[in-house]
Amino acid sequence: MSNELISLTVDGVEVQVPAGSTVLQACESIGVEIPTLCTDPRLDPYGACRMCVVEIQPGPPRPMASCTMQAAPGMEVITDSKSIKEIRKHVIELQLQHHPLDCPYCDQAGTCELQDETFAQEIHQSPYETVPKAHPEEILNEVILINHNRCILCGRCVRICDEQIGVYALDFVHRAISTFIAPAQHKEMDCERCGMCIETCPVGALLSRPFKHAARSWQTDKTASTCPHCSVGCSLLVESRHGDVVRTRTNGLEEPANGILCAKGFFGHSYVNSDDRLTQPLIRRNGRLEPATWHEAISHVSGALRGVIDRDGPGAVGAVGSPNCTNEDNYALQRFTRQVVGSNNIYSQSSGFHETFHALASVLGSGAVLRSQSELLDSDVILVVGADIGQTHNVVGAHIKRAVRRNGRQLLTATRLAGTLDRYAAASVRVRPGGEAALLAALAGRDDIPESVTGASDAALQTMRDALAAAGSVAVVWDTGVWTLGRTEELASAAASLAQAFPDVRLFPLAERANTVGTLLTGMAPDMLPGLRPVAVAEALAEIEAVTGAPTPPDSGTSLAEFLAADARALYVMGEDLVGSAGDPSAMREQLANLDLLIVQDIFMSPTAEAADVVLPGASFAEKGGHFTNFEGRRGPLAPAIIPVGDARPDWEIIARLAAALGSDFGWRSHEPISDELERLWRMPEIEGGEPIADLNGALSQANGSDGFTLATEQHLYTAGVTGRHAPSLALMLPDAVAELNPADAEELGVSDGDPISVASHAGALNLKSLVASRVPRGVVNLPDRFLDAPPRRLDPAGPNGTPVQVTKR
Amino acid sequence: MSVETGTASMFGDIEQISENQMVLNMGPQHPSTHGVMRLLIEVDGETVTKCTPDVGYLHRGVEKLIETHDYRGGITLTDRMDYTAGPSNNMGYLMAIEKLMGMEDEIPLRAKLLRTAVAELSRLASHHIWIGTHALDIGAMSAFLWSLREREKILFLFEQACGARLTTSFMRVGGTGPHDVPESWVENVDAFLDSYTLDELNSLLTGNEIFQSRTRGVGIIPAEQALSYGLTGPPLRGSGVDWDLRKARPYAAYDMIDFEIPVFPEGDVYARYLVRLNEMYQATRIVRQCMEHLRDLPPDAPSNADRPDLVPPDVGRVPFDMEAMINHFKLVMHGVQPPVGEAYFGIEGPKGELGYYFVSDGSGMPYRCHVRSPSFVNLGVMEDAAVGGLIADTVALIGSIDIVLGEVDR
Repeated sequence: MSNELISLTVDGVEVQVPAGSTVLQACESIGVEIPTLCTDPRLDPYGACRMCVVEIQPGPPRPMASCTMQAAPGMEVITDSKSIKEIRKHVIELQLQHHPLDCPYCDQAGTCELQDETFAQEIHQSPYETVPKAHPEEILNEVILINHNRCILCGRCVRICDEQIGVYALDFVHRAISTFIAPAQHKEMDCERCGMCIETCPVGALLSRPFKHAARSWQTDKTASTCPHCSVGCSLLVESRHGDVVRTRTNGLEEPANGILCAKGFFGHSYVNSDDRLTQPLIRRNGRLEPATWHEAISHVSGALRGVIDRDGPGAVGAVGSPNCTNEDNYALQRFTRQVVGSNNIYSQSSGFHETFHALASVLGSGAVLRSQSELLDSDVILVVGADIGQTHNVVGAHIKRAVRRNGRQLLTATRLAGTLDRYAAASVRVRPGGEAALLAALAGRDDIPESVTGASDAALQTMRDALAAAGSVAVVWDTGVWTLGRTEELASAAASLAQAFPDVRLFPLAERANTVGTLLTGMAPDMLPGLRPVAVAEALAEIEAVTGAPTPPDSGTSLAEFLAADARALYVMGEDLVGSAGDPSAMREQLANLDLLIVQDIFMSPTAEAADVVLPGASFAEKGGHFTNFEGRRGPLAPAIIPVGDARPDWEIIARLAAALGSDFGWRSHEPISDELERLWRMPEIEGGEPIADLNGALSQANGSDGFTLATEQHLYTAGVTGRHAPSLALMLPDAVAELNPADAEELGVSDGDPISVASHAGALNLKSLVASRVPRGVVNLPDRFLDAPPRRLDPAGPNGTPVQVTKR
Repeated sequence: MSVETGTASMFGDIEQISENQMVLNMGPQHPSTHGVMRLLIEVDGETVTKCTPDVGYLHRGVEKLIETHDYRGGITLTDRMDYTAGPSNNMGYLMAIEKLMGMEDEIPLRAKLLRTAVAELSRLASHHIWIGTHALDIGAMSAFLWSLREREKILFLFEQACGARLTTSFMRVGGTGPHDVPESWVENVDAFLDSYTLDELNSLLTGNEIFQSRTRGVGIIPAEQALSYGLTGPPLRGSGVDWDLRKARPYAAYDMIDFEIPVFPEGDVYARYLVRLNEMYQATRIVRQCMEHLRDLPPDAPSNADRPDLVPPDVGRVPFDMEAMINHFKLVMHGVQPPVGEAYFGIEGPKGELGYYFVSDGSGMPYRCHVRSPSFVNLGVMEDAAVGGLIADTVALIGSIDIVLGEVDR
């Protein structure tokens, strides 16, 4: 759309709009309301419903659909003539002639656009006999249902799945009056369960099965919040009723979500009201965790902490924050640990993103990381490496697909597994698990890497290199999830070398969880303060003191492993499962058992919590205010939609009460003062790069495969760790821990879907079910990450990706 | 010598101020306060020197409750205020909303006539309670039994019309609502009027020497005082002020009806008795005329305004017609949405001017609802009217003001 303005008149009023606007946009720009049924701001004009007809002079001697008609200079538009009103009325009357009389039990009733338009167009009596269609409801998959009778064939579901999601799972079937919506090409619904078809449906045709008959949509309380499931940080509208979160929807068209969500965002909220939530503080008495009041718990914890500090000094106390908690929660914990306890032993769990960030920042400077999504989507060439972004960061994946189709970006995929991104890729290769860094190095110019390492032929690499060389700007995108474990340095080095080989390469390591970036920037590290200020710098300490009014101990703490191995006596764990996520759980359990005091603050019982002396029930994302920091460094606000279940309390509040009990009242009675305090300390990291790129030989040594299978692992679209396991709708989509096998491999092994198999490596074995998936290449077995009962890390604590494994039928 | 009236309750029912003076706590549980009202009376011997009504024992927040319901949902709350005359409360509420929506002129005649008739029947029902309890308070037992026997017949008519005797929630915005009165109702009302007689009560009380000695010259409210306290209804007309909204600002079908406004100038308890008694005779006249007019209407006369955007469609059509289904759903679930603005409408209720004030913010629920309840306003005059009388006269005075605590406290 150019900036040139054209002028036309709407109902006699002169309007100026940018050239290229539609007549509908021109009308809406001056507040003239035109009724529509097939319009969605996320979608292209389509002209299906004919509700938006207007008369245009000069123009064809018939009413025109204003949504598809481009505004032209000098046009005279009449929107409310008698005949136009008649047409609109007839459109609705004809729709209603076959509409089922379902309003009393239709989920959409009350927010139904057909209902609203019927009432708004003053249609009070049908000129026809109502003869409803009577097709049975059709279950499309675990979460989506279609009622053909209510469908008005506006095509919004078909279009959003195509235009916005790039999946095209739905289509029109048959013709004319027999038309209906069905899975594309009559196949089984090949769908990412993002729910956007439900979201956009103007009537109650496409329905959410978890939400069916759960609440009346106009009676719910609506709260704008941010999705807690991954680092894209999509804005959510949380709808709740009587203290239950009943559904989540999209909220506005702004970045980073741009009006869409993924399966986790749309269906993954139900863990909030899970019966398994921790609802009261637990204190270990006589070897058992027993319910206690908050008063007891706070005085118990403060007394015990005081005892450890007095006996062993503050250095014996440590705390672990969490990427599942907000900036404010983490900030509160680190301030508590640093300023009340007096210890810099503050941690967040090892994160691929944190390591990648530091590695990249040391070479290229911190300005090279935490760039905005728009820079990603504006790059001429987008290169996706390693994990399938369509699975790990689905919404970014969808945006990339749209950028390719709408804005002519070129997509190159070098993923281990096939995915929906490949359809839109100019070139794609299946990189061998473990060979990702080598592939990046090869793209950067090294020509001595054998195909057996990368899995990509020389010809394919050359095609990609040519595309990169021809591009004005390149975005390199990779997920920093479990597969980068043990490899972050080499991946970062390889990416940095690529960045130096081509002009304007933008690097996008996508963080794993909702607030992984937040834990980095709020100073959840023994040597880093909020705003990534080094502890070792006196000015930084002074800055913190100027804002908080209290001193921070000047000595950096030790790393978590060293701390646990050496002088740890008390540990405060917030929102993390140290045991469950450890490469060697029993060793971790033993280390925790050696502590005098283990305090775990979480929303669900976990193996770590089971070992704790005190368990404190925290609040989920829907129950507290604060911010999550997404992969761009953008802060997405959270607002409490419901009061916390049971006696659960927001994490910052628990810490603030504990601080007060230990004699340092922070004065926080809501999350806002914490946000304000953090705002004054907030800054994007300022690290200068310049160190030479590490030698990449190490990257090449490993991936020489064995004669067995190679292990691949990455987060699956339907897994979300603990929260996902307690969210029934997500658990339905992928109920059990699976190992994905290529159909040909499965046939050779004699296994089919659901058969129990065993995946064994040098470090251990996992028993799980098989899932035959054509997206997995031959010779590779893929373990979706973040199933609680089968963490791939068990198979190789040092880094499971690319590990040789044996697969056997059980 | 004076005393803070609030202290009495702390020392029980009676507090001695001096040899001759004490504070007497009448109510909140007292048979003659007609509900849970408390009067703090300072007496010198048996003469009242100060009287302070203390209200609020029956406060349920009805106004705020109405503000949390859609306009239709509020109807059921109105007849819980003056529960002796439920339909009359409903009418005032509905007409205020109709004024808010600017549709007063669209109410069909049938609905207007029915509203007038039901309002007058509820005036009768209310006055029957009043006459019975008032007479009982000052020692006449039979009148109570005879009066409630007649009232029972009226409640039966309410039940026939809408299914409820007391909390009628009768009629809807725009007319009678989905359920008009049954066909036989008009005949039943006629039969009731034929069998109904007030002469028994009249002969029992009006000329009764004891009754007269308890009421004549007792609790005098001069016209000026009545006006300054904002009294309305029989207490006002019993003080000789000829003011009745039915004549002053005719609403519903009152402009079609021939009736008189009884006014008595004495201002004592007996004058108010006479106003009400004569009003009851007039009410039967009004009802009879309404029935005649109703009978003259064509059988297919509409009973609801022709405003499908405000009045839900005929329920019979809803399960068969998609448009009707949608209209019904929108109007029932989201309610009617009056334009932004405010409106006050008062009707002449049995106890005085019953007014409803609404502020609309354009949503389906009133932004503010205020009820001008006659009982509450009329009760204020107790402060002056009771002073100088005997304690026993206070009992007669309360009865003659005719309050109902459900309406005083709301």
